[in-house]
Amino acid sequence: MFDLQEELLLKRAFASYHRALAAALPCEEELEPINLSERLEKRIKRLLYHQKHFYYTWINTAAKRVACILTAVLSIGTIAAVGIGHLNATNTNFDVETYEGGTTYVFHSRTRRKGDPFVHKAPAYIPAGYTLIEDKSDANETGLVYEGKGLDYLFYGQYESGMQYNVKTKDITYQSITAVGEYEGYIFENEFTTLLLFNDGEYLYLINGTLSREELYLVAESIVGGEEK
Amino acid sequence: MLFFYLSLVDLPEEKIRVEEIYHCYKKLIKYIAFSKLESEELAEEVVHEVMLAVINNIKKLQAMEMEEIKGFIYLATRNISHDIFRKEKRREAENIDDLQLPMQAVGDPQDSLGEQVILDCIAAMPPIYRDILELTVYYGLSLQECAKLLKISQAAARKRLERARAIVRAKLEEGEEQYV
Repeated sequence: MFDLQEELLLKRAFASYHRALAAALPCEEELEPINLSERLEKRIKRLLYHQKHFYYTWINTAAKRVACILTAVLSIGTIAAVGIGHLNATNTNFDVETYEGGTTYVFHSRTRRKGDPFVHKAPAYIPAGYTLIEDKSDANETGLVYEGKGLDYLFYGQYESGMQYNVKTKDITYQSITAVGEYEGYIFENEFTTLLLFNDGEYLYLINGTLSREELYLVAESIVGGEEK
Repeated sequence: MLFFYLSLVDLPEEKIRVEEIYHCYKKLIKYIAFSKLESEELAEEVVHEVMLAVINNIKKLQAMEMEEIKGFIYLATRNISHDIFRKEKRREAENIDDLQLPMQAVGDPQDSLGEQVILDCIAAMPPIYRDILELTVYYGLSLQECAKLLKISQAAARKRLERARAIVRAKLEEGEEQYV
C-alpha cells in the first residue's frame, strides 16, 4: 500500500493525466456524427430498465419487508378478471390499499401462526434453457434466481404472512386479477417483464421474469403442487 | 452477465447516474472502440459491456464529477475493446494502448517536483500497470473489482499492482536523488 503522501501525489498526478486525456479525446462536436443502432439503444434501454426496477430492490433490500415498485400507467377500467381456474372467494388473503400513484398488496395467512416453521418450496417446472444461478433464501423466505439466454431471467420468491408488495402505477401496460389453480393472484406486465403475485393461503409467492404469461403460470402451478426445497 | 450486477445498483440516485453516464459518453465509447476494432457491431458490443462495467462500479463512480468518470470510461473501453479484439482476431493483440492519442501530460505549475515525477512516470508507464494503479488509487476499486473489470485473475491484478507500485517508488527515489 502507498503511504498517504504517495497516494495524494498519485491522485493529483492522475487528475493531471485525465486533463491531458480529456484534451486528446474527441470533443462533443466531433462525436456528433456518430450514431448508435436502434438495436443497441434497445439493449441499453433494457439494461437501464432492469437496474431501475423492482427486481433489484426485491433481491437486494436489507429489510425483510418486501417493497417492490413497478412503474406503470394505470388506465382506469382496465382491471378485468382473467380466469385461469376459478377464483375462490374464501381464499382472499390480500389486503389491498390504493393510494395516489399506486397500490399496496399485503398478504395475511389465515392458516399459519407466528412461529410456525417456514417450509421452503421450489417450482417443479422451470422453462428449458434456464439455470439456477443464485439462491437468496434464508430461514424466512425463499428467493431463487434463474438465468436464461441473453437478458432473460426468472425470479421466484416465497414469503411469510405480513409481507407487502407495492406497485407504483406508471407504465404498466397490463394488470389483472388472476388465479393460480384455486388461489387468488395478480398479474402485472410492462414492456419487458411479467410479474405474478399470488398466495396459497400459507405463503405469498412472487414470480417475475421475461417469460410469457403462459410460461409464468406453468411455473406458478408447479409451485403449488411442488415439493419442499 | 446482467444478474451479477443486480446487487450493486439499488439506490435511485445511482440509477439516474448510470443513465446520465450513458447519455454523456455513449458516442465516445463507440468512437474509441471503433478505432480499435473497426467494426460497428463489435464497437456497439463494447458500449454494452462498458455500461455493465459502469453499473458494476457505480457506487465508486457515483460521487465523482462527469469529467473524472471520463477517465474510467476510457480505461474500461480500451480494456474491453482489447479483450474483444483478442477474441475476435485469435491472436496476440498489439499494445493495448495503440489508440495512440496525442497526449502530453503536463502537470499543474503549482505541482511539486514529486508530483511532476509521478506524472511523468504514469504517463510513460505501460498501460497494464497504469490501469491497475488508476483503478485502485484514483477510483478506489478493490483488487477483486479490478480483476473483474480487466478480466484477469485476482492474483494477476495483485502482481500488476505490486509492479506498478515498484515502478512509482523507483521513480520517486530517482527523483529525490536527482533533485537533492
